[in-house]
Amino acid sequence: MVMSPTSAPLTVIVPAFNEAESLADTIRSLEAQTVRPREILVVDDCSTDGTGEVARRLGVTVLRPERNTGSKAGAQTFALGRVTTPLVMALDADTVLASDAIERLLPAFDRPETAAACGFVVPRRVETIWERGRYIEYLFAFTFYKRVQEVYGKPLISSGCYSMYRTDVLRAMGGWSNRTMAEDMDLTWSLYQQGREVRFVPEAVCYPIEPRTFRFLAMQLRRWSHGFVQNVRLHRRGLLQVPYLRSAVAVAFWDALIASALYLFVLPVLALLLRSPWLLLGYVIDVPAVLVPVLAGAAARREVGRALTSMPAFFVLRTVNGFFFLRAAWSELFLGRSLLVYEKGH
Amino acid sequence: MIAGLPGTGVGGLFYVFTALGTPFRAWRARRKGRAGESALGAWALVLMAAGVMAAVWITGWGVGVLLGRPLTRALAAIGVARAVAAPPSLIRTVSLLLAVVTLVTILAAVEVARLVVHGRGSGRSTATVIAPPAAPVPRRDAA
Repeated sequence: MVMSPTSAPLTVIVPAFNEAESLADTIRSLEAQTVRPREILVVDDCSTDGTGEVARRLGVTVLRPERNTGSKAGAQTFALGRVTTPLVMALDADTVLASDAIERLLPAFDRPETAAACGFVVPRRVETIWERGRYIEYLFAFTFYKRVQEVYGKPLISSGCYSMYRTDVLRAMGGWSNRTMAEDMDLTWSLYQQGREVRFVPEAVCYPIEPRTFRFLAMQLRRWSHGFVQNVRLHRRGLLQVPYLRSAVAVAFWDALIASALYLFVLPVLALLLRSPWLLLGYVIDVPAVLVPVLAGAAARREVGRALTSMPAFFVLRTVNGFFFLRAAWSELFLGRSLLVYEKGH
Repeated sequence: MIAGLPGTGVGGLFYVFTALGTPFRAWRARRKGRAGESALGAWALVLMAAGVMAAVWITGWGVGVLLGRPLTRALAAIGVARAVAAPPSLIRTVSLLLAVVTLVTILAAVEVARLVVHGRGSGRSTATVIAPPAAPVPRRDAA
């Protein structure tokens, strides 16, 4: 006997700006859920590539603001007023869900204190050097860091590409804010400061498309780096009141600054000064340490071969990350130039 | 999104140390009705942390063997060190110690900052520091 899927008191908001190529897969993955959302709202943010038509053909509700809202946060908040269910989910238009992703995430809201919940993120395509680097980055962070954060009750970020929220809490906060380039981090940290709980459910898996080319990667990293610095500056005092989170943010910020400087300046200069190319091993010195969580995560997904062949890309991406972070920190903290334009980089 | 640079420096060390406390934290969370990581899952995290520590230790030996001699030779060449032969374990011990001291210093600084801010009676968010743009700026599409 084939069981028909049940539905959840949930609305999914899919913000979309020129996403005609990927949107259909996203909607189909929502319709294939073991527990379906009650409504799917696609926000066609004044696209010019027929994104709205793609969504309409698949039978979901399409909202189109009079003019471009300026950011993913703006598009999501635009749709929030239309939500009538107690739970709401934000899902990127380039992200597909595992068939049981909603079913796995829902129990996190059995506790009334839970305001947001997110899942495990795995790149959908793992082909180019940047996708491979990101694949390892995610495997490492979601298998180890984020699970530890969950045990301490403080996942660092409820991922913007796929997160579920309590609608009344989100409304009371005014929706997603566009005051920083990382609306997901801003919202998560604001929730903690209000004494709310955020959960990470590793069994709930989503698959976004990650940047394939350096051009798209650069736009994404620029946004992420500036967003991180902006959020640290914005929440610096409030964060101090949140146990564990304050420590996790402090070490993340320190690493982003110091390790970046180490990779980009200290190691090559020392290698030259001391005439010892062996020092360049410092770029990959933590291969064994990174391999442990990565292989644990990859083994659970039966992707050990893919993980091993992708490892070198991680170290390239990490150095590139370092460059973008240092540039963002310099621009935001020393030059006083804040990034305000949301550049879509997938 | 990912904050920081995963896998490097004191961040990695921070998660290794805090992972060691997960069985206790998971037990406490379950008692409070916050069903999160299972006892088995928490111990898996401890095992992972132990694996990372073992990997760091092995790397330390490897680095000591690979770098110890050429590094001290280079240092001797510029007059910083006199002896050419260095015990391989020296680099490992010094680098690990330095990382632990750095981590402890950062965590202590955060706690001091908290006490200072809390002492002033201002634990509120500074969320109004960054003003949003007056009007939405149309986003750029690279496609």
